[in-house]
Amino acid sequence: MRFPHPSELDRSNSVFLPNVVLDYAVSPYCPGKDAKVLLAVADKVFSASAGRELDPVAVALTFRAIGASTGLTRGAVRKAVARLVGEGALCRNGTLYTFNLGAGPYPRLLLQEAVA
Amino acid sequence: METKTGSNPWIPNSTQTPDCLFDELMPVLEGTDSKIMFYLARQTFGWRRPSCRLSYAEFAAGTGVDVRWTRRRLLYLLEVGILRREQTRTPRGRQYLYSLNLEMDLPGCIETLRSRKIPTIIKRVNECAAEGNQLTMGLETHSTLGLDAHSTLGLETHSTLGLDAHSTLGLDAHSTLGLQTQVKAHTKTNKYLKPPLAPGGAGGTVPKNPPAGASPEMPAKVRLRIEVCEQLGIDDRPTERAIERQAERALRSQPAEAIVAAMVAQYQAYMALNAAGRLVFTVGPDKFFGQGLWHDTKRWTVKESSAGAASVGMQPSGTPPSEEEIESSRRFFESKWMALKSRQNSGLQLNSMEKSQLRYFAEMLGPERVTKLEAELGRLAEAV
Repeated sequence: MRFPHPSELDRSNSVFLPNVVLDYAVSPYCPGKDAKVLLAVADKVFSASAGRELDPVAVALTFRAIGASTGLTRGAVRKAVARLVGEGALCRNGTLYTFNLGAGPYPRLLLQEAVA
Repeated sequence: METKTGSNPWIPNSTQTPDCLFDELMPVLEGTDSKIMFYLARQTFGWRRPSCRLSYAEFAAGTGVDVRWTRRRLLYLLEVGILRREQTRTPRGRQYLYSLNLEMDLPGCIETLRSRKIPTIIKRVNECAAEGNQLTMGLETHSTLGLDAHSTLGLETHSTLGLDAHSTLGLDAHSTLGLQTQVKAHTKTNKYLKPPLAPGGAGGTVPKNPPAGASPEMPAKVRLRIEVCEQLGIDDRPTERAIERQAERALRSQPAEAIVAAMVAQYQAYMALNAAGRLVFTVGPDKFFGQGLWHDTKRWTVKESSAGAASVGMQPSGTPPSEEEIESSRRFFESKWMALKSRQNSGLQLNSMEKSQLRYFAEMLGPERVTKLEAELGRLAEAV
């Protein structure tokens, strides 16, 4: 196992993440655990949408599955998901997770910041 | 990269991110470390460039982490090998080019990260178990574990107790472990650890300080430390660390044998002065070695003259000891030896300095006198 060189990156070993998602995850508005959860879900969602670039599909995930990807406990994942959904960074319907990139500013907080 | 809904301004471009960042590194990295790593990925992969010139302040501003903490986490990631940086000198000063380390040894990095997430107390327990020492220190003061002085845990990194990197021991204040003394050494964590104890000691006592000599594959400073500690009977960690630090410095200019001889001789001389009451201020062995007193006798705060100096060979030149002085120092040694020995007999733990003093007094008094004093102590104990 080794790290792929940028020239070797392809669909089999990389995922295309929307810049807004990545920017929000690393921004000061997003705490570290939330960032991990957001990126883990983004990885799943945008890996599943391969072939339809940046067209998010809904994927079924459990807190346990997200916890396994992030190294967080289920409780921590639950709280982080609640915060992210509240911010508008993540869409959740039961166990289905997706991103709402086309409906408006992503996420709502960034627009508020821009307006302010 | 164009998207299918390119007319929508809220779906901008994307960043091609390697899967191994998500699958391998993110589960073992802390939240802040993940943010820093992905921030750098965004700045490099997102702009199609191999590296990126960034300052600590820019990292901090981009991630919302405190500058000092950002610096610490960046240095940690560089040390582990996830990130890489190159220093460049410009007219404006020194600058760093950061990039993800594409040649990193992923399994090695992950192993390092996992081992570093283990709480310090578990590492200490692992070390104690591997060395076969009784857990008499650390646990009593830190923990609510209920471990007594004679128990040995045998906790491993992936231990049977289920103490993983995320758990804070998982043992509450009321739990009683009932662990037997089947010690399992986790030799992978430290190649210098002594071999595990042979099984069969369940419920019994584990020999303290099992004999273990220095092996040639050890670094010179470790060999030197082991030799000095064996000769002086030192077994506490702060002193061992201090000796290693001093040895590392001294080895640049002196051979190892000379350093060992100097350390042992100076420590014994210092102890002798201390026992004779000729020191104004005394320090423990950790400070004696750590502060460099072992090679700088001018810093010893020796009194001008004292009665106990005759027998320890520190008499000022030209004044042979009188009978009275020798008798005085003998009485002093006897009283000190009896005080320490009675403390030891009553079950109290002596520190390494007291143990050394006890040995030194016994040497000074001689075996016959020691036997008599032991008998006297026995009689006193029976009377009590």
